[in-house]
Amino acid sequence: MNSTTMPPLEVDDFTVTLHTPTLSVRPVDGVSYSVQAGEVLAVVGESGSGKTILNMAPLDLLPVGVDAEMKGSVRFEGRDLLNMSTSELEAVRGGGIGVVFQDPLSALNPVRKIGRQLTEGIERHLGLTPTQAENRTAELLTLVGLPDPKSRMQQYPHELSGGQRQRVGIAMGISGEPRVLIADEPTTALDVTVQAQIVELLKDLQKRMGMAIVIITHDFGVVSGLADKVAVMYAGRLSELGSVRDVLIDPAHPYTRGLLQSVPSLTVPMDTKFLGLPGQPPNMAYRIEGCAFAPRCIEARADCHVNRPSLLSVPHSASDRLAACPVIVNQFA
Amino acid sequence: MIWLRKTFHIVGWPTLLLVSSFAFIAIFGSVISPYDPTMQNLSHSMQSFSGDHWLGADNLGRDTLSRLIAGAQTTLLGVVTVLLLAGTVGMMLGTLAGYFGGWLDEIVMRFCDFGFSVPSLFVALAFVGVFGPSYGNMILALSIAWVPIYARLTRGVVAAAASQAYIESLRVLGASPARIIFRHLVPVALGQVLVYASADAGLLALAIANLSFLGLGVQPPQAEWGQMLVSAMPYIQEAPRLVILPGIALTLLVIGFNLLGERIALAKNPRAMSRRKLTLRRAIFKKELEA
Amino acid sequence: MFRIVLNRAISAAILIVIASVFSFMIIAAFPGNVAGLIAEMRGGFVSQEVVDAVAEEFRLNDPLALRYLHWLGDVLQGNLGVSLRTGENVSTAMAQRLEPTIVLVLGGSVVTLLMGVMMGFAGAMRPNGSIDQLIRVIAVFNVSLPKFFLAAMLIYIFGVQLQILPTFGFRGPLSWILPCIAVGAVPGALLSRLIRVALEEAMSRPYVITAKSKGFGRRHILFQDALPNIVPVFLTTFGMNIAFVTQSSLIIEPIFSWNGIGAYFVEAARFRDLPVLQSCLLMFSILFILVNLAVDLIVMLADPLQRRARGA
Repeated sequence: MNSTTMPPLEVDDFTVTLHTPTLSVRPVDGVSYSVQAGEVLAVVGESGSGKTILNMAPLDLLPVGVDAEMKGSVRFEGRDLLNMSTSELEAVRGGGIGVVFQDPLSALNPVRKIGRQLTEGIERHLGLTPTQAENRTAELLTLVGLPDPKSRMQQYPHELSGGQRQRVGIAMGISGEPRVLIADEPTTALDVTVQAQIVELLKDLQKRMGMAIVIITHDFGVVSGLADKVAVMYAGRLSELGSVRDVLIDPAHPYTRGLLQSVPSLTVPMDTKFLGLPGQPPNMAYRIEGCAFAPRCIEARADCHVNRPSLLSVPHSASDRLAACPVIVNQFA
Repeated sequence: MIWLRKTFHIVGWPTLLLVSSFAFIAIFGSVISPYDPTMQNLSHSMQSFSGDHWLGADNLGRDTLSRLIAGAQTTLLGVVTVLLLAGTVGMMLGTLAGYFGGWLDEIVMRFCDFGFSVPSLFVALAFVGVFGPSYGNMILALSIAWVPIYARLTRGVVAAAASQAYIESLRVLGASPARIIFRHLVPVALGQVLVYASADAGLLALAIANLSFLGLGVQPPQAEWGQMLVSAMPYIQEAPRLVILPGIALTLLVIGFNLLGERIALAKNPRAMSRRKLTLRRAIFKKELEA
Repeated sequence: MFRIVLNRAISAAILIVIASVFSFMIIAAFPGNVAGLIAEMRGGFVSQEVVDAVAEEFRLNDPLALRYLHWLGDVLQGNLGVSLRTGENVSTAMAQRLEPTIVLVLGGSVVTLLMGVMMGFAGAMRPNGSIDQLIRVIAVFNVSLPKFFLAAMLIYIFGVQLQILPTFGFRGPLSWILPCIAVGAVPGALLSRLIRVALEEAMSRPYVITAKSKGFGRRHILFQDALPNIVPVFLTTFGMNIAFVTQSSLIIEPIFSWNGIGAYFVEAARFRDLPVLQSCLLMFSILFILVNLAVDLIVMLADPLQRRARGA
């Protein structure tokens, strides 16, 4: 099969159940999507909606002590990550799939020099000699916008600013020349001005390297600035999936609408009433029978509390778009 | 009875059983002991396990079981006395230093620094050397050597508490220093001291045995495990039980104390603290107290 | 950086001064009649004249501060006085007894290190595996084990039953084995538990997930990422273990009939040999203070975080 036609990352009916000694929760419940080469997909949702676990669990990158049971499939270039042996998965991590983490300060090892933390991955995945890897690291650091890379490589993480650290984190994510880059809220821990720089950097890198990016975020500014496609998650389930234009301009799912309304805007009149989302996300420890959003939904029908909605194609959209809300989809039609 | 169930829950039954059976033996030792621990009967010399002497007899024909029981008494009494003495004096010094500060604080803490940089056994040994070897002198020497720990601990707690707003307001309201100290500061420190003392008991039992083993503590014919073990060393080939039994008794007691201290420290700490964190904290305890 | 080193050195110096005052006070603050005691220990008939002569000899009638300065001056010149019991020069006697103690401390440290590092890493490689469980039990048991009991058991097993190792005297490397194990085993168990716990702690930190995301396995992460992070804890604990091991010399040297400084100290305490007692306490105190200082400085140099936090 040709790799240009096969999406590098395909998630199909993916479910994660986390087990603790006292209870089990299902932070990811039957999620399906795919990302094409050169495409940027943003996964959006509130904290606790399962968006991080959705992307980290298949790579076995959850915190120590978390016992995750996974069902469905997550295929990277046609191979299911869930069925891989430990060593196969280790070859994929950092090689085929790069990762950028939320908090660059804790993600970097505080007592190792930055250079060494970068070169070890490059040596491992690109098969370069230490000297070559060091040169490559210097190039990478220049690429992510850090001047004077040779002296940066001799420094420890605490000697850099937050933005500089995240640039190092991004360099680390792309150091293995991955086909897919997963970025977990890469801008959340940063100052607002630096956030924009990091978004620009990611965009630039994506163009140069042609990789697919999955960016996890709750910031619609990042979504509109960077993504082609957006997947909205609520309580572990996908509620809407479509192109950024469609979803941001004309949201279909009531949850997406509520979410967009709760973003403060400077373009509306000052005295416009601020609309938040009433209520709380559901407790994931309990099994949800119907639509997870139904209790907070203004459009909810009796049926919504009983039958779990599946993703339906939304008519009259500019591109393929799916929403897990039969009520709204019928209105569109 | 709630407090009983609570204790039970915090400590766990194996530890509680272990420690309380030693306490029982120590308290009722003279009643349950089959023989007078110092009574010699040379015709029973080196007798092995038998109906007469369940755990055998030593070179002088003294009953081993009775001597082990007497050893429990000696050890536990010593541990409790040292903890009381060192705890009281340490708390007094620490409270005064923490509350009044200034040169008093400086002097007390400098001596504590010294006490901390030299292992307690050395200090205790030096004092035993000055006072002369005996059970009472050993207790005194150990108490002196253990004072810095409690003074430092109390001083930290008191200094932290004294700077809090409610103590400040008491002072403004005209409460006397004595009232503030005894009504408000000492109770806070006492909790910490008790938690630490529970962890310290095992160490003290070992120190008492160590000094007695060296012939600097309990003197014959009074029975003490360390002293029993050392006087049995010449007979280790023919009667290893005389060496092994007191060793096991002491080890069990120390395990009991250590488990007890660990459980109490885990339960008493306001922040949820895992066992591994506690271990780490113990390791850097010195550092922490210095900070 | 330099200022911190200086500060630490100054407080170590103050501690040494306190140690000297403390050691001096052992004779000075002796309860009862020191001159009488010393005269008694020298034997012979103790008359008032003899006691007075002794008081004169030890300057017991001088003011305390003057006596301290005299004594300090002697100590600085390497003159630690004369043993009351044997009449030996204390500095010479200590120098003669230095070798066994050094062997014991170094050998014990080696045992501690080997045991601690091997068991600690073996446990951390497979957390909660059978080796890990076994090590935990050994560690808990070992920490509660009296040193003299361990030594007695070693003597019984290797000396009496198997008869493969000497258990008496300081006579060549073979005779070093048992005492060094007896000294190093308990701190070794402690160290192994600490390494294990510190490694586990380090392995639960976010940077481990980062290392994993780069495609590295547990072994690589354990040695490359976790290990550098436990260096400060390791060094601090190991420094404390030196104190621990040295303390054990008090008990282990007499048991194996080694003529070391630990045994010298115990002997002095048993016979109330005040000058020896005083000198031993002083020497050991200085040793511990210097070891603490060295450990602190090394930890500071080894930890890049501290190096900056304290203003490089």
